[in-house]
Amino acid sequence: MSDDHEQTAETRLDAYVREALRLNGLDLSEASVASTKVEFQRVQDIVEPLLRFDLPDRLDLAPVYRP
Amino acid sequence: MIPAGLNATEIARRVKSGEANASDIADATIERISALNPRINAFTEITETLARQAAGRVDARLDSGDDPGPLAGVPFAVKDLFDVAGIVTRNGSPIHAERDPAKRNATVVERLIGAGAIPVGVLNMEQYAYGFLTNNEHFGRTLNPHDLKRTPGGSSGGSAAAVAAGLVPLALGSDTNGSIRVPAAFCGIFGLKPTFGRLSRAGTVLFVSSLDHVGPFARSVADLAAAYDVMQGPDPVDPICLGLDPDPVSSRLEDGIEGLRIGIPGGYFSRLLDGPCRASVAAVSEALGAEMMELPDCMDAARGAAFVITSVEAMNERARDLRTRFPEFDSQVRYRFVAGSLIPGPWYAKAQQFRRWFTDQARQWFADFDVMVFPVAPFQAPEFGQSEADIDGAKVQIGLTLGRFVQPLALLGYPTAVVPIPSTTGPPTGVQLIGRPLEEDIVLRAAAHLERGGIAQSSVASSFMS
Repeated sequence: MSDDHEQTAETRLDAYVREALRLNGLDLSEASVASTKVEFQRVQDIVEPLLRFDLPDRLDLAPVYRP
Repeated sequence: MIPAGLNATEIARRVKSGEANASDIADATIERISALNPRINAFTEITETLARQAAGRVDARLDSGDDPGPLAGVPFAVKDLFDVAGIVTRNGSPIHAERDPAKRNATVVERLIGAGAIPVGVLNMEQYAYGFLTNNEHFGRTLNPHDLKRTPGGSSGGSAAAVAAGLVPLALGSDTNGSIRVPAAFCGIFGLKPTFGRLSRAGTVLFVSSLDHVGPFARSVADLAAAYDVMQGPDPVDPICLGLDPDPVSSRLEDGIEGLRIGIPGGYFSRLLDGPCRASVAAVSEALGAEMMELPDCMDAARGAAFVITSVEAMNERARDLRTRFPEFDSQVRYRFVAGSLIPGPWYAKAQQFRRWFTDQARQWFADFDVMVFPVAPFQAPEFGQSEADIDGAKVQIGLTLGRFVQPLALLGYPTAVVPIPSTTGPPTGVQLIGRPLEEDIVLRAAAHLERGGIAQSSVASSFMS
């Protein structure tokens, strides 16, 4: 069950990374795709506390454009 | 003969009084850089012709009885992302190295030259300013003058190393997530990251538009203030630059800290800190009479927000080159950029919402305190190749922890002075002093108080004293 779950997560990550690279016009070697996945996993780990953080409603983004 | 450790304000005094002339200082500086730079690889280019021309103009003005400016004859150098007219701005990248030379000086470079300072060269950096080590694969790594096995920090490592080695008394760098603060601490010099938008970024290569700051490095607070004062002012060609008149701070450095309320946060900022860095924060805190305070438990989220904003905006700046010239990016840097292209839009929006909330929180902290004291790094400058550091008997990964005290605070854009604190066990450490927006005078007063008391000290690294 756990192995299946991890495999699914790995498969999803692989599919996401490949599709995002394609959409961004980045044609990378298999080795570079693998390194990209490692880096993106690192980003996910660092960003996770932000994604969990509850913010108040009706909050503007910081860089609000002022004409 | 000009002593190597002479600070900027003293050089200017000697030039203006006639004890020295700018051309001799420029010659001596170029000679010293040529002789000593190979030991640390701080400079990527020596601008000998520009230096001699600028020095000649200073001497000519003095000869005709004009005031050449407050930085008369002061040699300075800039991180390789500031435009210097006639020089290619390489941004640590072989791709940028192919571009045409800059047609004009960056605004802050122009203002320093206008104040009589002498541009002597361009300084090494982490490629595209993306990293804390200055381990540039194309232009070589820069070494820490206090210990050549160690990193000077980054990304403005060349700037900090050049000042710490006494090659120049003044250098410019940039700070997105800590790139002035970390090298200043690791190299034992003073650094100033002014309020976001206070100094023009026109004529610099942007890394992360909504977080980039430019600022000076020096070996004294007076030198930092002198450079900061002449670089201030509105700049209509920079949409980020605040349209404010200069507010000189140099004359207020002696005002002391009486009447200032100074805080030191616990929690996140007191955890994962090794002995020497903890001792430095304690010494600064005691000397400033800081009061303990608590901040909300949100710093990991703040760091995540800074990370997301950095990744996305940095990728946006370099997207075209990544598509067409991927192999020419440094191997440590290229995947940081590519990962930025994978970040979902809602993450970026949440990071910017968080930044709004976080700055609202900070206004409340600073309603009670004029200055707050923070560590810069969890440990002293690591050796190149070192992957782990020892903190309280536990191993921590350097790559994951080095930025933990600077990255969350990058979101605020508040003025920050780094004060260098010597250590008896290894290279120097540094401490951040942060104040309210546009109150650079307050953080520099606190820094000057520490310098007068001997707590904060900066001098040329011992093996570069001759």
